[in-house]
Amino acid sequence: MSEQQPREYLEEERVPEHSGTSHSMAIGFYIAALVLTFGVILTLTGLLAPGLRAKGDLGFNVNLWWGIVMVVSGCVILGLSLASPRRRAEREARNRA
Amino acid sequence: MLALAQLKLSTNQSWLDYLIIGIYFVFVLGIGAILRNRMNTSEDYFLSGRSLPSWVTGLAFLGANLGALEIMGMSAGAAEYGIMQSHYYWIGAIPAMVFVALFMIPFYYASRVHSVPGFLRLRYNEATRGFNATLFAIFMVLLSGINMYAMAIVFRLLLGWSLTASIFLSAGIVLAYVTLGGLSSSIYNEVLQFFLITLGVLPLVIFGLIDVGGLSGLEHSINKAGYFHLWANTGSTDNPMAVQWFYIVFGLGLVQSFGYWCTDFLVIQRALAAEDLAASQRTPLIAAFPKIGYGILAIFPGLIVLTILPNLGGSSLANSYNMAVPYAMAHYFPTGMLGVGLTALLAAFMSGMAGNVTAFNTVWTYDIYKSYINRNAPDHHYLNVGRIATVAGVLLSIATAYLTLGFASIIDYVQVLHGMFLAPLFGTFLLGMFWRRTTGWGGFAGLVAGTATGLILFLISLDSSLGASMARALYAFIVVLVVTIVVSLFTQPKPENELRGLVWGLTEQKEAVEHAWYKKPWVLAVVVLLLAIALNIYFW
Repeated sequence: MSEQQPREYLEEERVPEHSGTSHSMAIGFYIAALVLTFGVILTLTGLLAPGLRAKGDLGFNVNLWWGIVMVVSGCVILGLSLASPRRRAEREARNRA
Repeated sequence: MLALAQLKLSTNQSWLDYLIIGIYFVFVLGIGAILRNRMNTSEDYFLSGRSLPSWVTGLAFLGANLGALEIMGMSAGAAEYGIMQSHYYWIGAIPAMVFVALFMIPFYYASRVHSVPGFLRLRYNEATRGFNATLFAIFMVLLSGINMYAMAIVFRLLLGWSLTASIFLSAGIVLAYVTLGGLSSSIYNEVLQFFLITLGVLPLVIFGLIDVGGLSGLEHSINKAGYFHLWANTGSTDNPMAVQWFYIVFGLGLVQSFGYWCTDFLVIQRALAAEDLAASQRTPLIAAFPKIGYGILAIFPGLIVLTILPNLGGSSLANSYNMAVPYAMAHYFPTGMLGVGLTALLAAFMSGMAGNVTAFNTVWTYDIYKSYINRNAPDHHYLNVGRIATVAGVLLSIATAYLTLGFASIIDYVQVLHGMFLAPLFGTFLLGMFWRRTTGWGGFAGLVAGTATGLILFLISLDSSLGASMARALYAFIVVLVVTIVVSLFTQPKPENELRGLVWGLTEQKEAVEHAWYKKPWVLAVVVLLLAIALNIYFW
């Protein structure tokens, strides 16, 4: 067992190298898309079927209110992803090229 | 048109919930398919190319930790033990996360330590690695049964099927998810999971607290002595957990918690995927803030459900503590919102289960099969072995799902396992990293002795309460330290050049460069610790 073997074992199977792919933006859009979709579905349900209530009804339209919360959350995530300094840097780099 | 939609929505109560769950699966499987075409290497899937900012890795770090255990298990524990369950957050997670950020990440970053088996092999010897790999494979199968069981409970409630049918349905879904590539985009899904779980569980706590009239209303309507104190009754064992503060601080806060956060590379690898050392260090700290919040989010549903079902906690499945969250959701969430809540639970199970099955697959294929059974086969052979291991792992999880039925709640079961598997490993890790004199056979003897101690103590008492698990973890840890030190003193130490990159004093660490004061690790660490202390005092 020389020194060589363990290192090969470690790096090949466990420690990936930097491949240069950028994912942070895509992750932001991906999450915003799902949260917005859910938010819109809940808001519409709240508007179209305000009579849907749970057993432990709290006297307000749960679907509508939480739908709005999710739409707002989705917009915030989307906005942050769009405004991120990384995205701006990427765009500038592309323009220069 | 409006009237039609209204009629449809109110006559069919559940298609909307299924639609929401369906959309989630389309998203998760879809992103796997899209990414597969866009990424060049298999490493890209996993670590997403070491280009991630710390908010992504931080949320993924927490997402990887938020399994079924977190949501259903912790609230089950809260229904059983009251707010003392929050010890698993404010003493049992935050200090360890801060420690990992400040001390372990720079070390891992600079060293050759990137996995438990890798470290054990280089630092100790082949025997230690082999022993640990075998234990770890067993541990993963025992653990993945929990996710299977938790998922089955939800389907049972949702579809009204028997438990066995629900378990097989869950197994089928997990297999489909793993084979269709639901895993391949893990960081994407872990961050998504964090948002889904938070948006699904937060309303449960808000609605519940509105319903019972806030914290004081909750205390009043539960009316159980000691259910709302973290420390006040821990001078003796006269508290819901029947445990003294000493075991909470050292058994849970030190051994179990540090054992988990320092050695769980499923979680640590998220931090190592960050763009630079400073971002890596920030990762556990960014995760620590929502983790503090989960000390409330994951715990309170279990307390709130006691106001609806005061007699929860029996031997039958329908009356089990594990039902706390599903029952609370069914009570407070109307169709629509219920779909979002159930999706949050499913997301947690899927990623927990998939994580366990993949870890099992990796350890079996590379650390056991390739190392000891068939050393020189072509790559595609190992790929096939891995696939078979995935199926076998899911089938074995079905069996272990039934094992969890014997415990009052899944959190009891998990902590029995953690005490037995992680506590000894932590001792071996700690000595190997900080004491040069530790020898290969010293580490092996210590790990075997510590694991045996935990196992024997459990078999003698068969006590699965949380207090007993904390104590067992502490004893097993002490046995590991003593045996490792004694055996090391009588065996030949390794030459220093073999320990480079593996032992603290022999690894050159870089200083992380960070100019913004609010991003400095120690600033974040102090803030997060102060918050945790404040909550401990508030719920004293």
